[in-house]
Amino acid sequence: MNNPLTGLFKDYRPLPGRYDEMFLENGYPQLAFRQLLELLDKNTLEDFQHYRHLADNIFRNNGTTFLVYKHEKGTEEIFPFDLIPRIICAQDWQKLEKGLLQRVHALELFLHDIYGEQRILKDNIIPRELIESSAGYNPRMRHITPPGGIYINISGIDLLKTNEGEYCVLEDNLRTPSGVSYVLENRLTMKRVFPAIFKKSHIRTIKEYPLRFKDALASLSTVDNPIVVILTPGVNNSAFFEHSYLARKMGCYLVQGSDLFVHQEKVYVKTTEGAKRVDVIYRRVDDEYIDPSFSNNNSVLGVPDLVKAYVAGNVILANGLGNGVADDKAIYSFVPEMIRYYLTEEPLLAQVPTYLGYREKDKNIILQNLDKFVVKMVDGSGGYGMLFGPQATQKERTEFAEKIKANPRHYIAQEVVELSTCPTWDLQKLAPKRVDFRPYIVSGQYRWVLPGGLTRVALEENSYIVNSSQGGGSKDTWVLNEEDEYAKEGI
Amino acid sequence: MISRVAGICFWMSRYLERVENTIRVLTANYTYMLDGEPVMKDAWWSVVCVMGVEKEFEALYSQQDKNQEELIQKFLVWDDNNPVSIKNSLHIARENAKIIRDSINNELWDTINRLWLWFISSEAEVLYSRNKYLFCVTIQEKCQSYQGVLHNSIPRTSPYEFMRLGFLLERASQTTRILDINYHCVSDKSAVVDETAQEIAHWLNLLESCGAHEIFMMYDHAELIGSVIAKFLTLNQTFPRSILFCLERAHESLLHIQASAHSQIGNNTRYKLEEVIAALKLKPIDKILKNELHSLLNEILENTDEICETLAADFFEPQRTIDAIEETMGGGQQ
Repeated sequence: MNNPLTGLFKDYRPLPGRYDEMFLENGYPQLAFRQLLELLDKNTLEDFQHYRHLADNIFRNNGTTFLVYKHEKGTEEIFPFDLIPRIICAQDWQKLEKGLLQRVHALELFLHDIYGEQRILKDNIIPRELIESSAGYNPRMRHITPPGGIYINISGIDLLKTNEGEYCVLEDNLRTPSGVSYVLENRLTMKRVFPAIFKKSHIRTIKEYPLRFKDALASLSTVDNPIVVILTPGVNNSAFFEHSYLARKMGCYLVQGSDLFVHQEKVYVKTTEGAKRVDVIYRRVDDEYIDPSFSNNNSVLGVPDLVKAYVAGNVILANGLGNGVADDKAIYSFVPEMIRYYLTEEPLLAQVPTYLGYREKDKNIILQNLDKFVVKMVDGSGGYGMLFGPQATQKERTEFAEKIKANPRHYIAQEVVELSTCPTWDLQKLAPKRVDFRPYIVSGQYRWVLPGGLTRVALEENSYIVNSSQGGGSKDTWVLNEEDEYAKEGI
Repeated sequence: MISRVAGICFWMSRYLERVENTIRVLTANYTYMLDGEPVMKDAWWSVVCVMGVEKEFEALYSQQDKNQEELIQKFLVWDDNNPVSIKNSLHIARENAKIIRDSINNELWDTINRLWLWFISSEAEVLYSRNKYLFCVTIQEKCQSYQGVLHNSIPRTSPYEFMRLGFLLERASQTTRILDINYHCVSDKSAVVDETAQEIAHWLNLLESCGAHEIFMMYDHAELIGSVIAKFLTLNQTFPRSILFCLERAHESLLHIQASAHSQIGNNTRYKLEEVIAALKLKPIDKILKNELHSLLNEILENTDEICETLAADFFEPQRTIDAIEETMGGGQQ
């Protein structure tokens, strides 16, 4: 059998011994994607150059940008976008979807328990000390049910695909996961660049996300036509584009802290027609900044007495307060136990074995293997404050060792897990680059997984870092409808 | 709508109007200066005065620089130290547009963003050095495409009305300034001046700066006399850049805002506007003396500023008292 791909993908070869999502090691397409890859293959490398310009212009003109905090004032950058999609077949997706729903369900129950009876601690499944020492744990939220009844309205679970082709959870994002606007914009761009391919295939739509999300939030309110607002830290926040984008697509007011005020434990927004009652706040401001009178700081991003209104049950905050305890990277290692404990099910998704600085035994293993491990702060994000052992200098490792010794609870370590690769544009040709994946799960009266998600790609050779702030890019993610699969109709 | 956002709509629109006005004045002056006739003294300096940035200029440059055509043009177009340079105004307008993208539509954002991206492109820089006239025309066209999108695609709800208020009040004060400063340049004692070639060129330049040259010539009482021009630019009720036209339309916008909100908020601004319009209509502009015209125009400027301040107090930075909440919660539920 000859390789059917003679155009764009002619010379593409995966890295030896690494799992590539689209291609077998010999350069043949994975069976399930053969049809779609053949369509993409019809383009030449020159076509591709042209498409790239087209896509860049679409992004820049749309203002689909994020701020990088490199300089004092921040620079506006477009999130590098790669035109080769990552494709997920229906079978894989169904499995993944179930696993995600299970995981988020267990995490939700965990939060209710931790801020309620704390059965899981009393039954010694998770050490109490680990919870109480978590920066994300807020003891003042004990015995307070979030208005609306949900802690995790929106979550983004970061995954990788192992060498065996299995999805594996890397970390949970249960506070203010970002990136969904890129998912939606990437798709729009792809449709403009490759209309013919979309016509010929059954790629599941993601367009409904903003409406689904708004409905999910509104469904939790007891008010008939609740006013939903999005609270942004402001135009200088790196994700401001997303806040504004979602406000437009969801049809919500986009507000800053100074636009809101609390009167008699109720929240109001200042409008040109006078003050209006606010029922639901999708807040993109962190717990510690959301209410200066609660956190006892001078935050101007927040709204004084907002927490009082929340505690009184008069306003729904999405996500709830205190979620940080559930996406603490040390507590992550207990999620499989949570699933067994709360749901009496076996976890459907694998996760990366994790060493906790908190455990004396683990700490020593971490310190002895700094050249092999990835070390992360338990509440870090965006690729900041981590050590990638194998590529770090001796000096960096020594510095990190000191930090770990000074505050072991604050660090965890994991062995380096190979990320799967996807064909990605690299200067003049396609090359295999490492990718991860962040699907989004919306919870209202019911739970829903967006059929797609953010595929982030490490654009630099040999890099494992996919964060937008650290030189990563993104790809559109195509989840296929069942009937579209070559595997099913072909054999 | 959100009070803060209303303010941003207003200011974004004001800044874009300022850009268009600056461009008009620059283009007119540029063409005017190409004539072989001896021109009015300080013709370029007067443009700095129209923009109200004399102090900023003086802080940077010397007395002799006030005759430096190139320098003044650069100062008005590119200078970061000039708070109302085209660059600064466009940048603020574009940043404001970014903040309120949820209140305007994509097309409007797109025209503003493209204008800004073009302005900072090397293409614009090259065009400025090669052909200033074409440079100005390009910006003016882009400003007009913004106005076109604004009027043809934005629904007539509060954001639109606040944007309309922004450009109307800005336009009223720009016309006032252009008239005031140009009137100043003509050395006469009475309202009527002699029609020397030099003066005709000057008056035509003034009209051109307001985009009113041909429109004025079609006007019933058109005579290239200072007092007639002054009356036209002040009181004409059909010309979209006359002071009265702008203020009356601003009043209309305010009524729309109040009607759609069923609210008394904005009454202070409305009363002030009504007062100013009524007073203006009574002024015998064609009969008053030059120095009287100056003080009248000054008064208009002060009044326009005051209207803007009242508008901000009414809508953009409201002092929410408990009374106000109860008023909106309890009242108006008939």
